[in-house]
Amino acid sequence: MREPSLCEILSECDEAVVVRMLEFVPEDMDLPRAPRDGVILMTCREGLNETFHLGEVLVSESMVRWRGVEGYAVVVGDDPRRSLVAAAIDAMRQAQAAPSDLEALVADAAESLLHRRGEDARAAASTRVEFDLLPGA
Amino acid sequence: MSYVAVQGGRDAIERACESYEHRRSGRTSAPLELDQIREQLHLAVDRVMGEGGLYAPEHASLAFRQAAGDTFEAAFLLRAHRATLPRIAQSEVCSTGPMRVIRRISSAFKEVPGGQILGPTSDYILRLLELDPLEDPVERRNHLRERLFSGKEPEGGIPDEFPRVVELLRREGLVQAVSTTSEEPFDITRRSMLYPAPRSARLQSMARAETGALLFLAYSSMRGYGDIHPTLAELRVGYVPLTVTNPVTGRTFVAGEVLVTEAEVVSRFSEPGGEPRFHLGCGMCFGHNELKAISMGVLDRCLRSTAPSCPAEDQEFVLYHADGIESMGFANHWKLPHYVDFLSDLDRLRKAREVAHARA
Repeated sequence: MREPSLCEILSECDEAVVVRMLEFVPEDMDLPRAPRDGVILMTCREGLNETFHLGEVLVSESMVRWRGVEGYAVVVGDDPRRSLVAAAIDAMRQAQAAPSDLEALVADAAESLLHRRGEDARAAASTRVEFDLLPGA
Repeated sequence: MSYVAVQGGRDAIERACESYEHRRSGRTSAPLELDQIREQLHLAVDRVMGEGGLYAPEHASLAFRQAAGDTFEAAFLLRAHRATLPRIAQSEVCSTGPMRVIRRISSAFKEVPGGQILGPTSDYILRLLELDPLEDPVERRNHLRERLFSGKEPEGGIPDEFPRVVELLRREGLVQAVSTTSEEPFDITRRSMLYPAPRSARLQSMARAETGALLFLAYSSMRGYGDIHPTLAELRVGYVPLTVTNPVTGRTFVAGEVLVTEAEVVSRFSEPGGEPRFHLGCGMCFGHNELKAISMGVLDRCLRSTAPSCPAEDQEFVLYHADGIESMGFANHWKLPHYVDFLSDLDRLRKAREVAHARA
C-alpha cells in the first residue's frame, strides 16, 4: 500500500490530532499569505490517453516562512488549520527542527490512516469473485 | 416570452423562506447531522458533487440538507459556492492506474488480470424493501464489521495497480489505438464551447452533467435511437491521488484522495476501408456513481460519430441539455412573473378571435 503523504495525513486525521499538532506550530513562524480555501482543477488521463478536466476539488492552501525556509501545503477539504499544520511541519522538516513529539503524532496519524485503508482493501479483497459459466452456456 | 421585474412582497417572501426551512426541519424528527448524510447517504452526496463539479463531501452534504434532498438544487448550491473560491492551481495529470480500488468488474471477460472485485454493491440481490429490520441498526453495523474484519485475511489482497482490461484487446489490435495528441485540455469553466467541441470539452461537460439526463440519452442509443450497444470492458471505483506541484520547490506531492468512478465501454465499429475493431467510450465522474460513468462512456462513443443520426450522437443536443443546473434554471424560471408578456399574448389572442368571429 502506498505510503500516505503529509498532506494526505493532515486531510484525513481526526480533529483532536489537528488540535494537538497546532500546539507545535512555532510562534515566530511568518505567514507570507494567510491560509486560504480554494479549488484545484483536477485533470485526468482517460483510456484513450487523452487528458480532460474532471472537475474541481475543494482544498485549503498554506504557505509559511521560518528560519529561512518556506513550507507549503495543500490539503483536500476546507480546513485552513490542517494546511497550516502541514506547511509548518514541511518548514520544520526542511530546517531539521521538527520536534520528535510532533513526528510521533504524525506517525500515529499515518498508522491510523493506513489501518483504515487496510480495512477498505480487506473488505474489497473479500469480494473477489470468479464466476463460472453455467453448463451449456 | 420573458419574465418581468416586480416589487413588493418582502414580508411574504421572508415568511415563505421561513416556511420552507420549517418544513425541511420536520415536525418531531431529530435534526439531520452532516456526518449522517455524508456517511449514510453517500451516493446522493457523490451525485451532488459530480453534478456541482466540485469535490467537497462536507459541503455537498450541507447542500443536500439545505435543499431538502433535491439533488438539482444541492448541485446548484455547490456550484454557486464554487464561484466564490479562487482557483489555486491545476493538478498534475491524474491517472486511475494508482487508484485505490474498492470495486472493479468487467462484463467483457470472466477472468481479468488483477481479478474481479465486487466491492460495495447491491447488484446481485433482490431489490426488496426491508420492511422488518431484524436488528437494531447499531448492532447491525457491529455485526457487519465483525463479518468483514474478523477471521483470517482474504487471500490475494488488493494489488496497488490494476491493468486496464481494454489493454487485453489493444494488444491484439482489436481496439482503437490510443491518442497521440498532446493538446492542453479545453476548460469549459473558462471558455465558451463551440461546436464541434474538442473531446476534452465534451468529457468535462459530461463529467458534471446531470445523471438522469446522461442516462436518458445513453439509454435512447442503447434501445435503437442510435447504434451503440456497448459492452462494459471495465468499471472501477476507488480513490485517486490528487497530485499537485509545490510552487516553491517545484516538487510534486499528493494533497489527498478523490473518490472517482470510471467506466470503459467498447462497441463494434467498421470504418470504411478499414478493419473492423472495437471503439472505446470513456466515462469518469466524481464519487461513486456507476450509472453516470457508464452512460457517459456510451455517450462519449456516440458523440464521436462522424454522421450523427440520432439525438445521442448530436453534440449540441447532448451537451446543451444534459447540464442539470442549466436545464433546472430554465425550467424554474417559468415560475417567475411573466405578467406583461402574458397580457400581450392575451391581447393578441383576443384580437385574433375578433377577426375570426368577424369573418365567420
